[in-house]
Amino acid sequence: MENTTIKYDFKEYVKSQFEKLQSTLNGSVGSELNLLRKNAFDKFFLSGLPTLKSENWKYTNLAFLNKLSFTDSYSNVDLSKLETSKLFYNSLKSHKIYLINGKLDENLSSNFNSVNGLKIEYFENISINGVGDYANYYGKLTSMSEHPFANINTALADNLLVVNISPGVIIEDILQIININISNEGALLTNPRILVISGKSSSAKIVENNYTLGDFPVVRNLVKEFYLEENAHLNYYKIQDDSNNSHLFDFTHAEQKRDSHLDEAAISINGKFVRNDLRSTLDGENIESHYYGIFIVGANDFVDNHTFVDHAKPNSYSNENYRGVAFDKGTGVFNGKIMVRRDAQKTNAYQSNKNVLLSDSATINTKPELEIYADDVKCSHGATSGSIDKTSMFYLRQRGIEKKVAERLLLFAFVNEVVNEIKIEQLRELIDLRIEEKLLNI
Amino acid sequence: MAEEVKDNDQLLIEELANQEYKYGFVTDIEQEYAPKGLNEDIIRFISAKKNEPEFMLNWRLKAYKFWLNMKDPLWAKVNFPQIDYQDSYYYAAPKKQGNKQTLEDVDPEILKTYEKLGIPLTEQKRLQGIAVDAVMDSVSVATTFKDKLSEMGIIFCPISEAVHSHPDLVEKYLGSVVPMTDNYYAALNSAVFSDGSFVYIPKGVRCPMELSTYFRINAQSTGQFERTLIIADEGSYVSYLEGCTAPMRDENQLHAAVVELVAHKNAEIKYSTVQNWYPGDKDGKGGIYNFVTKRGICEGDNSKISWTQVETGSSITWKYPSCVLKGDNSVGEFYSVAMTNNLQQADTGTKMIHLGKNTRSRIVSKGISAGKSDNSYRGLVNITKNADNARNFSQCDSLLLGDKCGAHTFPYLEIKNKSATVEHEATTSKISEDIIFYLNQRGIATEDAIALIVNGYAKEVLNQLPMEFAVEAQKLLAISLEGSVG
Repeated sequence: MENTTIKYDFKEYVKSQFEKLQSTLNGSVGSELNLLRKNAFDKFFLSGLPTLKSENWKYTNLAFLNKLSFTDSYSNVDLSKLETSKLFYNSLKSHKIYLINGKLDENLSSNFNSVNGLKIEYFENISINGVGDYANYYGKLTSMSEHPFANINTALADNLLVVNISPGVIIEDILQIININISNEGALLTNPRILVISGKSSSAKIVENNYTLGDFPVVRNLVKEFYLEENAHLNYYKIQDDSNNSHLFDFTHAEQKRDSHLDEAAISINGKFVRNDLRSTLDGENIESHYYGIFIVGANDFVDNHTFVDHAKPNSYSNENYRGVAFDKGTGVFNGKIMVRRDAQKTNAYQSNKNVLLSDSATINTKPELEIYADDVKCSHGATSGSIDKTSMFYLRQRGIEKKVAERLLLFAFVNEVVNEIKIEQLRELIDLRIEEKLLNI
Repeated sequence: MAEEVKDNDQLLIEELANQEYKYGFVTDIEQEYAPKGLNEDIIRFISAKKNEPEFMLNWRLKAYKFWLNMKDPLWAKVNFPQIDYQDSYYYAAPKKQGNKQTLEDVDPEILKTYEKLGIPLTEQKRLQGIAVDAVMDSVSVATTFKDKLSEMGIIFCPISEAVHSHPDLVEKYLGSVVPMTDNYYAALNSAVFSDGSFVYIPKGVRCPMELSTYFRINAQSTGQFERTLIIADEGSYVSYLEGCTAPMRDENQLHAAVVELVAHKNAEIKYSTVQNWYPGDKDGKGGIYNFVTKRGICEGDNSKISWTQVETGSSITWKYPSCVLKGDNSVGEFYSVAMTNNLQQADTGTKMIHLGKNTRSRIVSKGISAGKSDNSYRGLVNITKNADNARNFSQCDSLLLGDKCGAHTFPYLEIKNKSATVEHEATTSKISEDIIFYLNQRGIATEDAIALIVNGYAKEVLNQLPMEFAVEAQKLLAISLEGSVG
């Protein structure tokens, strides 16, 4: 028999999933939420999967999606065999929320009743049951953008996790969201959906981890919406350190009100494919926003960070700092855009993207963009790509340090400057351990 | 106090907006047109008019067929209504031409036009040693210093003439850097181009004077499609200048030119442009659509191509002078000042394609936006897999004068070689009130202070221009800048 790769049609698979969901609805077909879903599906289906010709996907090859045969039946997961203590970042002292294949697992998750001012809410079968009081938030930000994967998520997501931090509450403990995908029966597409609401003058720190367990590839299409009310503080750290058969689409859109402060980090250490879309609307004055990212990409892996910072009002500050290391046949992409609208006078917006390329088979594509319509602003971006500094190397070699060790030392220091911005010491230590391990492959 | 300054500024901006475009006059001469519209017959007409050899006609027709199947590029950050390509003349020429052996044969009206533009064609009156090829609408009307140059083996003539006198060179190099299929406007140009300059510098010759082409659109409802081809053979050097103006009209006229540069081993080409097409009035009515494809190839080792441009005119600019660094150790440079005012739109930048080893490129782009204009830098630095030790440095600064304009930066960096060092920097800011206050305090009027600051800002680029051009460019900037502070 001829041995050819079978071609599947991802778009048709999404369609079949959508139709399957719709057929279970009965009475609620016309509900507002369902209209949102239908709308999102139509938008996706009309334009289909983006190709390399599309400006936002110029460097992102999605052909792998049509090579995966997805299975629908992933319900029979035996959780008793799951040893959560073996999950690397689980030693972090935190309150834990487990999402298994997109669904909340209450047995594994911590009991949040003890945490004052924190509401963890979970909605199942939202196409039938709705999202309660969160209808005004759900999908408001995602529907603003024509993002194909956000649209897929809106069309297919059937569960919703809400993290609601009450006004005036400062939560000292760390909250950890753990996404686990178990793919024992075939390739898996999951659409987890998270909503974070930071009430007025509240403060919280959230860490997100992703794990793929099982032998089949997983495509995790994660969508998050953050609402930061006046003077809210939110630190959200996503650690993308997953298995070699994991594919991640992460779409995060934050809306910030005046005086609020957001710290967002994307730490991409391992995984076959990562595409991060970070958008943020600075809808008020005196906002501070920091975005950090590192990636270490080797093998045949791919990491893509797209950011879009939208300064809509005056007197705000944003700063992006992304660093990447590409080795072997790895590809790293950075596309950062700063938009300063006409009214956003006195904006300060900075962006920096530095990369190290370690092999001629590796690729770095970077595109830092500025789109500025206000005159009284200070905006800058810088992007560099190079190899390991020869003088630093010489200095270390002179002191009898082996070449490989010296290289690792310098690379570690290079990415560590960004890791150091993470405000949780224990998390920094865990990340450092993993980075050191990853750098052994270089 | 700040309020007061602002009021003053407002007045100055208005004054600027009302400023007349200096070169907006029309020369009243008899013109010969091809029928309106674009089809194969028109292309045959142009080719026949130029008495072209067979290969040229075939080449044009092939380009036309490609063009028919292409779509306008829509990715640039500019807005304009769909162009009706049938509503324009593709050939217009001053009627009285005679044979252009001596200047006495040139229509005195045309000589007067160039005199008015500050480009004297009568050689004895000239002080500067610049050889000029003057192109009006579709034809070259005069070329100066031809004989003196030919003594050294330098060929400097209208491309329509080169097709006859040096068909081998034209056939070999035409379309070798910008293929006819390159993009929509390049294909259109390949089909209908009527004239332009041709330069060939033989081996080891250093061109003793600046070569220059002055483009003038005069006729109504015409497009100008000129084509420039410059070949610098081994070890040669040439510095080439290009200037352009057009009358003030309410209609938009299309200017779709193609410039190709070829630098062989150890050769150097320096190409400078002061682009001052009619930018349209303050309501954005009229003006030239300047859709130009410029590209140079550093074919041989140690060659160098340097682009310098001062862009102040055109209602829309779509232009990316590029360098293909093929030879080892070759160098590409791009220096640009782009100034937009009123409703002008500019989307300009460069491409540096590193193919050879030890290739270096440098990009310095200074954007200045005023009024309600939009000014974008769009550039690509591509380090290919085999381009060992490639080096690039890019700096893109934008200055905003006024709160209704936009300044944008879209740099693309694509790196596939580990030994490459690529650096990109961009900033956007306005002229700080502190600096103006400092200069005011020392008795310098706000207007002069701004001119001083902007000149300093653009100096890095202006310094690259040959002296005569630098003076013109400085004046142009000053005219466009007076009082437009935010």
